[in-house]
Amino acid sequence: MTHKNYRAFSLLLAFLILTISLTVIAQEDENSSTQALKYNPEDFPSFEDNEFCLRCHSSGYFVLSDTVSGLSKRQAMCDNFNIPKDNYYMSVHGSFSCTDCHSSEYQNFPHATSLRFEPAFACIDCHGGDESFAQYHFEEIDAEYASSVHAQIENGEFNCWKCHNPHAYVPLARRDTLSIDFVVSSNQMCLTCHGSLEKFQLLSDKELTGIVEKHDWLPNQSLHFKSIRCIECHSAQNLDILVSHNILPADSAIFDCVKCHSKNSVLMGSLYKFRVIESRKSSGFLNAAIIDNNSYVIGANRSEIMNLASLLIFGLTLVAMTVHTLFRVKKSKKH
Amino acid sequence: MTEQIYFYPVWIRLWHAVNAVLCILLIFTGISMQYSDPDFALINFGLAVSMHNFSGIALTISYFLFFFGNMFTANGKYYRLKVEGLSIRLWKQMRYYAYGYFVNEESPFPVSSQNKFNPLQQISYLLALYLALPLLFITGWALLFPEFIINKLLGFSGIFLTAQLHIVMGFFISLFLIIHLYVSTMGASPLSNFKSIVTGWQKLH
Repeated sequence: MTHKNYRAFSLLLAFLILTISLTVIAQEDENSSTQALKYNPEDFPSFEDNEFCLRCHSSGYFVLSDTVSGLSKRQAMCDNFNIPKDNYYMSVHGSFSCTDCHSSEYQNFPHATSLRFEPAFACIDCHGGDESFAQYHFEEIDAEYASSVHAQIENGEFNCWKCHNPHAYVPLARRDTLSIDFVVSSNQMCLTCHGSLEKFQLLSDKELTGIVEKHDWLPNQSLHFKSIRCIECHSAQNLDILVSHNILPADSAIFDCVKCHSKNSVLMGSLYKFRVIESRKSSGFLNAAIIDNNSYVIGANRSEIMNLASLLIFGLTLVAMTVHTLFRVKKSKKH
Repeated sequence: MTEQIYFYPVWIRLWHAVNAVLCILLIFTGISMQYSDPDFALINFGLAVSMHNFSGIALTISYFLFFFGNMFTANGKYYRLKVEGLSIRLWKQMRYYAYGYFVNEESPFPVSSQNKFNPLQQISYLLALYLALPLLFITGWALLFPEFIINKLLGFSGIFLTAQLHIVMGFFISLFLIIHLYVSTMGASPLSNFKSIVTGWQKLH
């Protein structure tokens, strides 16, 4: 390649790289500016009404004005009061108007302090005693919660919403998607308080213990944290409801590997309960609920077919060796 | 006086002993984990997991001693399979074990310095040491680091398939161990082969 050709080639290469880079940047901008909504506003009759609240409560800030001086300034919206619209309209409560659950006085701004003491609905207030919700067993859930360690919290500040965000709730446990995301979202409920001193001390004066140190005994700790929910070990099982709400005191938690790592793994009645119920409807082999999932539980993933095959092969080998031995004994007696 | 031949150099005897202890530990802890039960524990589950992991890692290291030993010493020649006429040789050896042995026929492949294994031994050692064990190492190490296992393969969970392959290979190795022990009793006397692997000297019969 001559010097001239080499320069021309270098220029062409530089031009190509620059063009490709600019195209990528342009595409990224395009993607971010035209991000599609995950919901269709027309599907929600209260959408327009809700905009009055959500223009502040989903934007991350609100504008505070002083009527005397006429000055106004932007203030950060506290995370607790921030409701991303995507989450809300994709949730089970997305069809509601804000004022279905909150006082209409919230339409006045700034909100009156007395509204902070407005009693919040609990799940049972709407879902209890209603035949259309009977399959979800809200009454049993309420009874379970009442006997849980959470209900014993001294200042009585604990309620459903400490774990279940009413503005983003989706019933993951009833979906046949036992992905890592499902476990993460469940554990996130616990970690909201148990992984944050800020949130924990709002509810308790107890010392917040480090999750990692407390679970030092667990082999492959990070794998367990990623694959199973805290409640697998930290709640009492109830076969009548899908997700146990009877959270146990720390010293009553399961501390025995074999409870999960065995043929009748407790996971079949907790993490895999929905799948077990579903697999009963169709034929399947033992512990298919776990096998279908992207995981493996030593001791619990057993196949009856493989057990039988291995026993048969072992049995036949032992029979062959016994017969061979008998002939050897007979031969040695002849000599 | 029975002729003796120095068959097992020190490094093979050491490797064999380490291999035997680790394989037995792995089989016991593996069975204990696979068939764990809250009411009966062959070995405490947590202890079984630790012992299995430790023994698996140690066995991998010891395997490399065997692998390179075979590569760089004369011992490797016993593992070179001659494919031509293999089925006839295998049939002859099977016939000998099933019939000829009892009617005092001569062994079709008598042990000699050039012929350490009969064809059946050779093929089973090859399958165990160059197929089942490497597969056990690959799947075992993958289960130690499951984040590297692909999520799905043919619609099945990758980790589940890896574990099943590990279990099936573990089963074959345990079957191999039992047959290996039994066949070892068929030497000049029932215990002579066991003595050989300790002293290094093999009696010819």
